[in-house]
Amino acid sequence: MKILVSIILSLFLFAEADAAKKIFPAPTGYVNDLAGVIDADSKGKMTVFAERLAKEGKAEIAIVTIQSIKEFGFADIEEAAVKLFEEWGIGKKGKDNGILILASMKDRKIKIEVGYGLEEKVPDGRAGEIIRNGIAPYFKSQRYGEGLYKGLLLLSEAIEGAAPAAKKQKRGGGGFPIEIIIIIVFVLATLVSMIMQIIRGKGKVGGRRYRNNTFWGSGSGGFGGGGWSSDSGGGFGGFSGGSSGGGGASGDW
Amino acid sequence: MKKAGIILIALALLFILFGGWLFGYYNSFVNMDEGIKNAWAQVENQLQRRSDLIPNLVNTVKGYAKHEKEIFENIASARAKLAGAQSIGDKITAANEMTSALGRLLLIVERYPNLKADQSFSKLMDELAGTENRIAVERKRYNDKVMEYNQMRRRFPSNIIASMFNFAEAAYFKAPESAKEATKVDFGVK
Repeated sequence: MKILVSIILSLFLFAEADAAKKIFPAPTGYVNDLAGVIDADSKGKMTVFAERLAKEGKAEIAIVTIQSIKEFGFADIEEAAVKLFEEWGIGKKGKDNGILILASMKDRKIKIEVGYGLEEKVPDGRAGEIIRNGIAPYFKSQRYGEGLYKGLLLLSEAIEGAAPAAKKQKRGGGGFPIEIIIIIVFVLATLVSMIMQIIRGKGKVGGRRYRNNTFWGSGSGGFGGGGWSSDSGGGFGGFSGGSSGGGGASGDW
Repeated sequence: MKKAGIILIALALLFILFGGWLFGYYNSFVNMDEGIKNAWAQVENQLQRRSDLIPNLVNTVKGYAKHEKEIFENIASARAKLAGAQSIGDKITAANEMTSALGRLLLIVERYPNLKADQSFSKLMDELAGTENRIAVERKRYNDKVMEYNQMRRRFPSNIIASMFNFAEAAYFKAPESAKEATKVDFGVK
């Protein structure tokens, strides 16, 4: 019975089960140099650094370079950053402690997108400063890897230097009494059908029958989302479902 | 007796199916409605955040551009309107008005190089740009939810349940087209 109800509920509560088309390639590590502008030394340093921050649960920072935002069909870097952040789910789910540093080479634009949970530690002004005074000067002399590394260091300074931020308010509604009504209806309906079967003299109630009831199909699949484990012994296990809402800053060089 | 039993079972099954169908749709309407409310709350948070930034921003700009009285008045009135707005429609109108007033302010700022060089002003501009971006993001998320809900409201067979239980159409937060026009006009004149 419970299974029947839950199958039906999950059928009707499909909401946003549709998996949207992916625009960006899956992340291969904390540093994703799609434009190919980061030197190996900086990449190594950044990877180690980002791994430590993630392991200590302080932040999940993704560093990404792309050739241009047009290549991915975006009009501005802010939009691209929000979408990339959403697709990869940078940061721990619930903690939303992700940060994305996105540099688009041809557009000469940098965006630091800050997850909900770090907005207090890395306010927009701070993020803008990091771009202007930390990253951009290096980018001006084509030292992209070093610039991004500097940006990463400054970000971690902002994150680790500040006192723990107050918990972000939880998004999402509470329970709905309507569910109780549904359950009551189904309990009643089943009782009626059980009584009918008893009247028919068959005595036995086919609980299993309901479980195999094919009318409802096989239920909906799992709800997307990345159930990654980030503590898989040093290697990159993917990001863990954090979200952002457009916070942070952008700048150019 | 046997026949009657079969009919009753069939009726019971129909009842289950119909009940599941009815309450399932009803339930998703309720969930979507709550989702819209939640998304709108996020939009309002960001609008509030922008309103909170304004006194600081205006004071900083005033330090360099005292005589641009008109724009300060526009911003102040848009802010007051937003604070006083009750319905979602009024809030959207007031928010768009503020967006266009701030857009004009940014154009004015271009004419004061000293102001642009001010470090605290740059930070304020980051905050403002970040907040505008947040509003854009939350607005899009809100509109996506509204679209999903409104589609379901009109699609068959869920439209029957929508009219049965009076699920009203939800309002989109349209991007301020007028803001762009206003800035353009301003730019041409000055």
